Amino acid sequence: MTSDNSASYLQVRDLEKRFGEFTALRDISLSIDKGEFVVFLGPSGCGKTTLLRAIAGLDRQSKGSIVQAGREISNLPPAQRDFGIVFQSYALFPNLTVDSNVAYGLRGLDRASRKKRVGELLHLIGLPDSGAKFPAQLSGGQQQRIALARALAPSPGLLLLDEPLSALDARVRIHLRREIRELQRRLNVTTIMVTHDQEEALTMADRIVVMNHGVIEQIGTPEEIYRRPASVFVANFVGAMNFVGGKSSGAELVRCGSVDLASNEPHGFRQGADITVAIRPEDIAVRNLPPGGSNIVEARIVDLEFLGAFCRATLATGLGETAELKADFSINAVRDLNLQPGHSLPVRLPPDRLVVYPAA
Amino acid sequence: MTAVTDDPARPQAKVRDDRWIAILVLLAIAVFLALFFVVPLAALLMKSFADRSGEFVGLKNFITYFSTPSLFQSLWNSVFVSAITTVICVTLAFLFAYALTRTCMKLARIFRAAAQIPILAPSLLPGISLVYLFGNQGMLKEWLFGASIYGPIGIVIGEVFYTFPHALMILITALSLTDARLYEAAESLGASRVRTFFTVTLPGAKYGLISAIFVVFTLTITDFGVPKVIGGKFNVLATDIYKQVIGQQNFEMGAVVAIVLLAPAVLAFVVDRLVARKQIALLSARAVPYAPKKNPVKDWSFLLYCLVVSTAIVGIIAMAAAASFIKLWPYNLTLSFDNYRFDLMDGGGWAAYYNSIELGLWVALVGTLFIFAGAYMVEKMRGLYALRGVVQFAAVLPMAVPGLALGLGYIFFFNYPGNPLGFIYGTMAILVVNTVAHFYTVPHLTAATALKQLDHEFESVSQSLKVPFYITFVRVTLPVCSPALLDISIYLFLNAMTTASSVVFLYAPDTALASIAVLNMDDAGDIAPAAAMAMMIVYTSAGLRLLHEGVSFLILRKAQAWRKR
Repeated sequence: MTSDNSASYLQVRDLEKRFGEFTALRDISLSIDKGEFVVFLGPSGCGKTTLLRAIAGLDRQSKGSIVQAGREISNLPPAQRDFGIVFQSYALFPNLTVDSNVAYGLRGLDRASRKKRVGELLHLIGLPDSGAKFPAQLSGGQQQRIALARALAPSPGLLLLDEPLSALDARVRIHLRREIRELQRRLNVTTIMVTHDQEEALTMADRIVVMNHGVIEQIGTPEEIYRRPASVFVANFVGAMNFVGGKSSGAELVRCGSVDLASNEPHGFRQGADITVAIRPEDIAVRNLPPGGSNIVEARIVDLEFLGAFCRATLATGLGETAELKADFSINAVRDLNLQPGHSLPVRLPPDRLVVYPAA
Repeated sequence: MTAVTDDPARPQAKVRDDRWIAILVLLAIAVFLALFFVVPLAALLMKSFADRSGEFVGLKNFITYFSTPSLFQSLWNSVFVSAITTVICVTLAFLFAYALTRTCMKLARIFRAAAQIPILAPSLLPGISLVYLFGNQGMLKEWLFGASIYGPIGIVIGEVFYTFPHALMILITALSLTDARLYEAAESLGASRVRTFFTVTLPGAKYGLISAIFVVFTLTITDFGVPKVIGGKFNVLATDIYKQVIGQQNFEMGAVVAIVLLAPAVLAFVVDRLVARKQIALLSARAVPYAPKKNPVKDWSFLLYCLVVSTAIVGIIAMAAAASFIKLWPYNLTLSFDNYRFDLMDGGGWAAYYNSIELGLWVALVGTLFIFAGAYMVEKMRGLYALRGVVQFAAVLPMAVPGLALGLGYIFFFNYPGNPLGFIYGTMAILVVNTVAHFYTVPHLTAATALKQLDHEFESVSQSLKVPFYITFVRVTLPVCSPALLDISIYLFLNAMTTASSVVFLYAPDTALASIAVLNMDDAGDIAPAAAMAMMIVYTSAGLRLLHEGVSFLILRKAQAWRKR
């Protein structure tokens, strides 16, 4: 593997998109490898769909360049680019049969090869017998798969998915997640998916691009995004996170309220700087605490919420007057330690789980 | 990782940038609306500020107008008659719509159909019919207790007949858009029927009522057919324009009156647009449709009411039909087709009728394709904001302009010496473009509504599949919108058949129309043949309407496969 830019399939450089006074995208640069599954994740209005549409050429960018497979495509109309797209609404043509829908982009082929290709695709998506039906006769999940087949029919080099699962009910969604991912791996087609659903992003992506207010907050693997969120925004948007205000009290030391907490590596803030410490609820340990270990604080259980597989506790600690921590304890732990509201107990905030940000 | 390897050979249809087609169509429509709508109105405006020799004289004509009592009186007459018509018509239509939507009355479908009949007739028809019913030798003359039908009474009755279906359609829509949960809430809070009516029903239909009021007022004040036939010596703005232009050849004063007439119509239009914008948010997606409960007293009272109104409507048409077959009212009551021998009278003869059919077909064909293509470009193209905005704005304006004003503007513009477009003056072509321009708005809005219901990503999908938009337009958009296309073409045809306002200034001897023939025969005292020609229009419109129903039914049945599961 080389770090040479030519290795990447799609490169976006310094992209900017303005709608009048409003800047929808700013300083967007990223590069995507061949065969990679990349997810643009962010709240609504963060610019993720705008970015996708710019890559497709459906909404031209105001500035910046896009290079696909070594070809400069920044100013090409969509018809001269090489991509297939699936929309949230599927946008299947209602008056055409499934066959005709899938064959819609195969105009260059003769009848026989067109029929063969449609057959292949319907087989691929697991709906080999639905060719004669109309879209309205299919379920939402089936329609979504037909839309996928239609987009894949001309063998595009790039597959774009714009919130493809958000119109489906939860069960179908989880099923289709896996199916799309498997299909993508099998065809090795470079894919970009837009979603606001962090779970979808974490389970499907090779890499996630987290966006907010038109800029990229972080690019990384799901693991990186979850473990080391680059900003308070990312930490907050992906998964649950506790934030506690404090001051830097050393290279690897912060002070929150009356407690000194150690972090595993230098956090890089000068002594006395205002900082925010973050830790995920499931990282707060309640069992097997190392005797005399660091980062152990005394906590009182204010509230205990039963969530099925685990309990979410609200803890009052000495970290600060208003700083209540949420902590997830397994049902086993709750039972074994007989945890109940009002009880006090020591908990540990493991140094390698702490992330330090500048104060908000 | 290696650089991108060769992709497998894949079908690549020839890629062309198809954008220029969109630009071309939008430009064509912008030019059309500019040439055949905006510029003629500008010519009208300029004429109103000029004297006979064409010199600019500022407001002189307007000062003359407002200081001539006989002219100024017409303005007051018009407002007076329109106001009374509006009050009566909207009240009657509201009760009728209420009966259709909020009761379990029997025969509702029949009443609904009967109420639509006036749309099939030119507005000259109720005038003629009223002459037979309440005129000097009228069948029911005594009903007026000595008052004359020629004047405000006749105009108001005729206009109520003519505007009733328009008000009814708006009010039916308004009353259908209700949320049953509001009534359940009112009932559970112990509100009385009357209180429920005033706190739930009326506010819910508020915007529909406002809209209906303005539509009826505008239709009445700009209508020319009814007052022309039954107005007698009671002058209104619309007849004044006609008299100034056709009678006295005073084009400048005609232009002034047209501008005066334009004012209330534009005002009504602006208010209606503002209201239409508000109505959208009225009904949430979660609303529960209201289902009326049986209530014998209420149901039968409304049935009686609808019966009376429907009888009046059918009666007016039936009177004209009867008159057309009677030899010489009231002296020789034998039946004959004599009155249909149009070639024996002045007014254009049967040729006028065929001209109307020809006009209707051209307008329906050209207008439907043109207007739908324009609406498609406005709704579905990306970018081109300025051009799309201009077309979208210009498309709704024709609704605000009375036909007489537009027709007069055409005279000034196309008859202007040296206008290279002057050659279409006096041809069928000018009647076609005039009628399309005059009735542009409703088809445009119908098309836009239908197009808005289509997934707006169809165009993006076809671009991504390298299929030019015009192929998707033909393969998907047109078939899916076929009901709307049919509605538009029938609307255009019916209006081309019945209109007598704008075209009255534009026809030439060999392009006279059926509605014009009605007018001219009535003017010449041949009132029975006028009734016969008016009935020819009704028969044709009705036949077409039935055909439309049949075709719509077939299309819907064919489309069942993909519309429903």
